[in-house]
Amino acid sequence: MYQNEILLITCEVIFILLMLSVPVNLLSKNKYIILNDSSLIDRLLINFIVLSNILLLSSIFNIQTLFILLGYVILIFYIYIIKSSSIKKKNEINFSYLIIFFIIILISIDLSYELFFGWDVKWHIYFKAFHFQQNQSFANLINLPINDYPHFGGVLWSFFWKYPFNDYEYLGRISYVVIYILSIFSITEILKIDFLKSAILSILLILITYEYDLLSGELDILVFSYLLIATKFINYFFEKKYKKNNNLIFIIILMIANILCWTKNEGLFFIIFLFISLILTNILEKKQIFFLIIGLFIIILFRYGSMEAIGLKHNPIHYELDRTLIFNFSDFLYRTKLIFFYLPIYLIQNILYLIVLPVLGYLILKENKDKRVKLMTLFLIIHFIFIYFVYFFKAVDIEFTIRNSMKGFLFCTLGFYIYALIIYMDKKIALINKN
Amino acid sequence: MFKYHISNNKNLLFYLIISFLILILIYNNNLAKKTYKIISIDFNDRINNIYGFCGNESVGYLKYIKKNYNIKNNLKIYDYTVHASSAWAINNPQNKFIDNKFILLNYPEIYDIKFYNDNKGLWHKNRDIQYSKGINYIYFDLNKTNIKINGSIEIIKKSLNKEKIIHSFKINQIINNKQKIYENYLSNDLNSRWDPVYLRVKLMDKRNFKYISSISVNLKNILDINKFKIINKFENCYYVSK
Repeated sequence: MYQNEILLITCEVIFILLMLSVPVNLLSKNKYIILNDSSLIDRLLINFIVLSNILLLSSIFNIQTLFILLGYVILIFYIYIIKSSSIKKKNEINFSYLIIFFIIILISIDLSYELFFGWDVKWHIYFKAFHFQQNQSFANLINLPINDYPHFGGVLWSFFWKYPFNDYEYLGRISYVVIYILSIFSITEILKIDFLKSAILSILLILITYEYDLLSGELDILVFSYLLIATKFINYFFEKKYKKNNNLIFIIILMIANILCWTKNEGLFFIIFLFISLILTNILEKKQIFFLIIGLFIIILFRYGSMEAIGLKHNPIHYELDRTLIFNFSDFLYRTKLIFFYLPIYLIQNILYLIVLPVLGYLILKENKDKRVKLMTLFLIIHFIFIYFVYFFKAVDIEFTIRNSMKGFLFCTLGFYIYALIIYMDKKIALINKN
Repeated sequence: MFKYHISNNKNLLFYLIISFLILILIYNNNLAKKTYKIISIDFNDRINNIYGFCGNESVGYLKYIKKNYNIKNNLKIYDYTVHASSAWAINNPQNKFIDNKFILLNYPEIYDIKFYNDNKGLWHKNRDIQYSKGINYIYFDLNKTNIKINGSIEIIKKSLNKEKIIHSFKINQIINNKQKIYENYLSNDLNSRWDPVYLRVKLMDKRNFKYISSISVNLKNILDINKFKIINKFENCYYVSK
């Protein structure tokens, strides 16, 4: 039967946005002051993070996704039908936000035309999405290829593939488009300028970063987006009024850490680096640092514990330590030379890195007393040491690995480095306002 | 009542800039054309256009076989080119594999690999090597009727920047164009997904290199199509049973 796919795409986007409209509305704005200041995009993203965690946990504890959908339907019905009168009085709708909706539709059209999967997607990620789309259990993951690889990307994809239409697989990947676009619009809101002005910057960032490869099912875009959202919420720590009343921010950041931990192995490292940088920046109290470390410890323990419970162990073949660790001095030079040769090439290939790294360099030189710059500097150092060691200890042909993965690997953290551009612009805007 | 944001002149300018940027997004990604194609071309046809029906990843052929032969379980797929498996298109990891039927993609009826000189002493192959179990013969593509060759050929596999000679042989004779030189070599070492396989050719008279266009190696195929019953064939794609 002929179906109008454009209509399906539009309905899918509306469905996703509707799912993202709850449940943060249920929280008291008096208790959590961040909710008073948060924009529509922030609230959508908090809801996305909550939904991501619900979907992740439901996949691990084998809860039928239909129950989650029903729960959301009841919640939406309760908030928007029963409590609708109070909402209308309190909230006003800025129709400029339709720009975001329109951009999501445009990128989704590109997705539905291009369709092709990345290498890893054909190899194992698609099977994970298909697995959960077929209501298979967490324990059955053991039958899949590369089963020790985190499965959250597949869970998110499968949920929106299955609901509401259970039709084309790419409809599930529209959720990746939504989080990508929303995260970019969110980070530019740090600038505290009109929505239209920040929208211009956001669209420019999308124009620079977007290419279909990001949506080919590979998980780099999720790591990029969640890191960007984490950065946005970490930025609240640098504002005076959130020094104390920031419990919700901590919970959101830990929820993002949990998702990153189940999205990609690198995701776990990036969030650890972010936490280390945050702790070393000296903006948190001891109690908060303790809360962060314990939270991260529980997240890591939960991930490895639950994988261990169903017999999923990290496959030592991935590391091939016997091959990796046997090398002489010429190997050391060869590997180092390759890494230092290709790293600048892939940094230059991404135009945004070409902008944000010099900006960060400028900030390190001129604004090094700013704690946000200190945070970025620490992350930069740890990140680049990590890149070196990741590729240095690759067992397979290093040049081949670098050429196939470094671009995506660098893209994952690009979200965090965009923060440098935002800090720079924030300072310039403050200077203009002062004068 | 919702409060509408009425645009003032300043906002109008911002809306114009945003519209312009969105137009760039549409133009850069050919979104108008893509929208038209999505409306006018069926999803399955778009999949065939992307992955090929038979050729490249042959997803179209796989889907065709699954649908037309009403296959419920998984089929083993042997693809003679190196890319990520196309199994995702038809297989479900929770299902069992059918033992006696399978699919061959990009199957070479004559399994010749051509090696070309890079003028740096090495000869590089023109296609991937999968499912071979050795060498039948080699031959030289000459741009001359015959030449006298006195030298050696090494077949090398490079892994982690280390070369491994997997086979070598000497030649000292007058060779005609495409004359088969039988070399009975049995091994699976030639198969390679990641590690490059190439030749190092050493000739006593280096002037002879200019007469050799390419060196072809005819491989023994693990999966000989003549030993199977062909259920369906389309170009180089086969659905066969034992």
